[in-house]
Amino acid sequence: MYRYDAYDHALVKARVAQFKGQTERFLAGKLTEDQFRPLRLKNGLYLQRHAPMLRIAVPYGMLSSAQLRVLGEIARDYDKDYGHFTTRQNLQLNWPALPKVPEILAKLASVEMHATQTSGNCIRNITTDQFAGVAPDEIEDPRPWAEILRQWSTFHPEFDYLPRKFKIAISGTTEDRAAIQVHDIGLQLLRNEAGELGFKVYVGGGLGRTALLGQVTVEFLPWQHILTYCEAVLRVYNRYGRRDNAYKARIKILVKALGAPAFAEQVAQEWAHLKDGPATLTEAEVARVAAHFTAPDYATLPAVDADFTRQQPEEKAFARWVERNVHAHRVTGYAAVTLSLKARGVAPGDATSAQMFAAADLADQFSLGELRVTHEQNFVLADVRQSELYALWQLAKQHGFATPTVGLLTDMIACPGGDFCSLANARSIPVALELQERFAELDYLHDIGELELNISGCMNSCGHHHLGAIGVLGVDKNGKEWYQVTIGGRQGNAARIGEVIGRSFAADEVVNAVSRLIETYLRLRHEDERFVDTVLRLGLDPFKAAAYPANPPAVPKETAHV
Amino acid sequence: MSKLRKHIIRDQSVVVATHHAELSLAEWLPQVGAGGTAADHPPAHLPAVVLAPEDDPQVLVDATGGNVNRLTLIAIDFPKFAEGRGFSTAYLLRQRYGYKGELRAVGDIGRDHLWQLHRVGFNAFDLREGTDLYDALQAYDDFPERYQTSNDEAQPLFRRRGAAHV
Repeated sequence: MYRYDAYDHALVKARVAQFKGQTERFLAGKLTEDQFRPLRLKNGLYLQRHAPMLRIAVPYGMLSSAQLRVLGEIARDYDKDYGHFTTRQNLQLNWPALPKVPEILAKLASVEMHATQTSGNCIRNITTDQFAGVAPDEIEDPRPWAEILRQWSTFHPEFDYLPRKFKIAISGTTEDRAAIQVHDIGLQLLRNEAGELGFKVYVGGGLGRTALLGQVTVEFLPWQHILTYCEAVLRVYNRYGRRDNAYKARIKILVKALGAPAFAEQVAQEWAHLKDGPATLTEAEVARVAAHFTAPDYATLPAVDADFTRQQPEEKAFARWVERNVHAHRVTGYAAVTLSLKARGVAPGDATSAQMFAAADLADQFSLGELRVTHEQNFVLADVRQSELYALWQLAKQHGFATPTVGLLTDMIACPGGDFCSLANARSIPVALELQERFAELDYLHDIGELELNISGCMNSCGHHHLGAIGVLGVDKNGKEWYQVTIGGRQGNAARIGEVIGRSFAADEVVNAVSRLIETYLRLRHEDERFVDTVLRLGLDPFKAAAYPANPPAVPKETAHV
Repeated sequence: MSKLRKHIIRDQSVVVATHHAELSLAEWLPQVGAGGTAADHPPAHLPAVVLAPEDDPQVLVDATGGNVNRLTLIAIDFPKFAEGRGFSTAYLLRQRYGYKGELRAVGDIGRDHLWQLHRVGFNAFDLREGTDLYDALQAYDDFPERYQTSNDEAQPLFRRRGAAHV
C-alpha cells in the first residue's frame, strides 16, 4: 500500500500543527464557534449529541495492520473502547474530548493517517472497491488513481469552501462495487479500442434529499487528463453551484438545473484552458504511485486445496461461511475474506478495540499485513490462501467476525442514527438490532438470499437507504420516530434508486412491515430470483398491499425536519 | 460589504492601507464607460473595484478592453466565512486574465484563510476586525509544500518530487 515520503509526512504534520493552533485559539476565545466550525469540520470533528465525533480518514479503505492497531489504541485511550466504520470506509469515534483531538491527530500522523477533509464542504475521502487489486474482473487497479486524487485534493487551496461536500469514487472493475453513480464524481477505469487506459466520468450523482444517478460527461477521458478534468469540474461547481440553500447545493442540483449536456459543455470550456498544462499527469508519477500497489509475491498453489474441499461438507457452518464470506481472487489458490462487523446484537459497522487488535493480528497471520474497510461496513482480508481458510474461520469466530451473512439481509448498512448523530430524525441502531433478531435464523436468512437492507436515520442518507433492495429512512413526525420504507433500489452498474411504498411506519411497526415484504417476496419469487428482481418484475403493488395491515393506526402529519 | 480597516497585510507585511476599493462592480462599470471606453481614463488610473462573490471577472476584462492591468487594485469580498467563490475569481484574474496589480481579500476572513487566499493569488488581506495581524503573518508558513498547482506554484508536487528535500 502507499507509503508516505518526506513530502507527505511534512504536509500531514503541518496540518496537525495548524489544527492544534486553531483549537487553542478557539479554546482561548479567539475564534468564535461559527468561525471554528468549518475549521474543525475539515479535520473531521463534529459536535454531536454526547461529545465531539471524530471521523478518521481511511483513504480508499486501505489499512495496514500497524495502522489498525493504532486506531484500536486511540479508541481505547481516547474513546469508549470501540469505533464505528462507515459507508465511506472511514472510522468514527463518538466520544473524544475536544482538547485531546490534536493529540489524536498527531498519533494518527505517526502512522501516515489523518482526519483531513472527512467533513466540511470540501473534497472528501476518495473511495473505491474493497477488492481492488485482487478482483477477478479487474480492468485496472483503482488504488494508485485514488491516491493520486487524494494528494491532488488534499489542502486544495481553491476548493476548500465549496457550496457543499464533494465525494469522488473510483471503480476499476467491470462490475461497479464502489457505487460510483451516486457520487459527485464517479470514475470508471476502462480501456479504449486501442488498449489505452482512461476513465468514463459520471458527474452529479448523489443520495440525500434529492437522490440522483450521475450523468456521463465524458465517455473516455485519457488517464493523463484526470486531474485537469476534475479541476475543471470543481471550478465550475465552486463558481456556479447554489449557495443559497444547503439542500440544493450539491453538484447534482447544478447538473440537473443546467442539463447534463450543457453542464458537460461548460466543464469542457473550462477544461480547454487546463488541458495539457503542468497538472497533466506523467507516466513517472503514475509509476511512482503504482509501485506501492504492486502484487505481492504470490505462491504457486493448486486451484483446489484438498483439505479445504474435505472440510466444507464435514462442517456445515464452515461451508456456510465459505459460501457467504469468502470471495473469488484473481490468483489461483487464494481468496478474499470478509470479516463481518454485523454480529447479532452489535450495531452494524461497530468494532471494539479488542476486535481491531484481533483483525490486525489476523491480517498479519493470513493476509500479508493489510486489510480493507468496505462500504458495507465490514473488513476484508484480500490475500488469504485457500488452505488457511479453515484456520482463519476458527479464529474469526472467536473474535465475532465470522457471522456468515455477507450480502444477506442482516449484513445491513446503517448509519449511527439518532443515538449519536445530531442530524438524525430517528434512531437507526434499534431498528437494525431488531431486524437482526427477527432474521437471526440462518436457514431462513439464506433462503431469502441476497438482499441489501440499508438504514439511514435522516435524509442525509449516510446509510444509503435509496440503494437498498429494502431501504429504511428515519423521519420525524411531531417529535416521534417514524420510518419510511423504499424497495427496488440496488447498487452496481445498473444502480437504481428505490421507490417509496407508502406512508411511514411507527417504530414498533417497521420491522413487522419488513417481515411482510419478505413473506410476499418468498410467496411470489421465481426460482433464483433476488428480492430486488421480484420487485422489478412485479412492481410495487403486491408489496404495498402486503405491507400495510387492514386497519392502520392514525398517523400524524409529517413535519419537515432536517 | 464589511468595514474596511486601517491596517492590512500586503506582501507579507503589516502596512497602513492608503486606499481602498469602494466601488461595487455595478458602480464601477459606468465610471469606466461601457464597451471598453475605459480608454478615456489614463492607463493605470482606473478606479479600484470590489467584486462580490457572484461577480464574473470576465466583466473586468471586457470593460478594460482586454487589459485588466489598467486596474491597480481589485478587491474581492468574502461576506461570509464559508464563502468560496472568491478563491476561483482570484485564480482566474491571475492565471487566465493576467492581472498583476494588488488583489485584496476583504470581509469575514481571518488568519485561517490566509494560506489558501495567498495560494490562489491574493497578495493583500483586509482581515476581519479583531484579528492579530502579526500573528496572522505566521499563516504564510502553515505548510511547507503544496501538492497542487495554483497561482503560487506552476508545477504540481509530482513534477518536483525528488528534485529537493523538505
